[in-house]
Amino acid sequence: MFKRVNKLLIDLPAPEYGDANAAAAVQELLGGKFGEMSTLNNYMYQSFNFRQKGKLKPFYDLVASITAEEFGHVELVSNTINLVNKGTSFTAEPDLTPLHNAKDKRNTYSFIATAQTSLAGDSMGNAWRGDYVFSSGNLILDLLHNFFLEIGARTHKMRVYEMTDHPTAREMIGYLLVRGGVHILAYAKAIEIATGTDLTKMLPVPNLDNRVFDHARKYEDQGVGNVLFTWSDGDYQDIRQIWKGTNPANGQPLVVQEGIPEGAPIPDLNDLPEEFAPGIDRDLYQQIAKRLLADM
Amino acid sequence: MNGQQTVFTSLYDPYVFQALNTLIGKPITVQTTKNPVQGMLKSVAPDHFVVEINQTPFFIRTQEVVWVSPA
Repeated sequence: MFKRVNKLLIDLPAPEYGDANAAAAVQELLGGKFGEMSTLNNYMYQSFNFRQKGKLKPFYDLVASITAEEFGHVELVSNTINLVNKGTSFTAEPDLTPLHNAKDKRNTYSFIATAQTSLAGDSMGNAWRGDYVFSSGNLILDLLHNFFLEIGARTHKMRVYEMTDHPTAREMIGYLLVRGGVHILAYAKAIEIATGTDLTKMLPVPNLDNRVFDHARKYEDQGVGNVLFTWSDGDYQDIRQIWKGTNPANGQPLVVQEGIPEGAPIPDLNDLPEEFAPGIDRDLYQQIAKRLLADM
Repeated sequence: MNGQQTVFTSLYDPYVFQALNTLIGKPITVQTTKNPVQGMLKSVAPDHFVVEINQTPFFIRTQEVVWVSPA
């Protein structure tokens, strides 16, 4: 089961200017082949499909607990897209063509389909696909796939970082570079325990430290890269048998923390009359309020 | 200044400058060569003007303006 907490992993800056084409690029980190929807669904199905959960419990606990973190990453990237997606339209009557600037933006779905919010698809508007999920049932093959998937995700994050300097996008990418680094290391350590092969020697891939990125350095300094959470009240404790020793990137001890990070408020979004979203005017709102409060 | 009043003039788009001065303190929409900006017109200078959105000022170069609408 999943329990939901109404918090975002980090506090996202929300400047009063946006960049719709940057939001379109960030879509790759959400619904691309190496996006957060892929990491979420890969670990989710692998945890559902896991054979011999008791005998191989630390590995099951690892894949199952990281699933929950990836859910939070999907939430974080979606919120980033929503905050970056502003400043293309203006509020006016339909005949004044208030969405005319959208014709020249890369992601027209954002204006036509989602009212300038996130799309369950990639930076080219392709829908996220279920065949991005790899769940072979062979533990070592699945772990190796996850190691590769996380490295691919890290590469894409670095490139999107190089595409946009929008502060909201960079804050999110800085944080996820560090958390993605944790997952790369976690799968490398799981593979080492399962096979005796030390893949950490090839890290980092690509061969540059997270500290090169201004917005990642803060999180590295806070030690965010040394912690693996259980994302549960009591379950998934045996990740401790995998997440132990020191972080090869900085020599600091690796820590398992029970539960979830502190989190930050979920951003709210202004109404967008030119998109008829949410489309509740003052009169209708008063009627709704009356019905909501009736017979309580 | 010998009782003379100093008058600022705009070297380009002088009538845009003049028209914008009549909209100070009002909500406006500005279509720039990049994105539209919608907010309160706070002040106008010969080569730029200031639009405030949620207490955040945006300094817009007059030369980057396509149109302005008082809305």
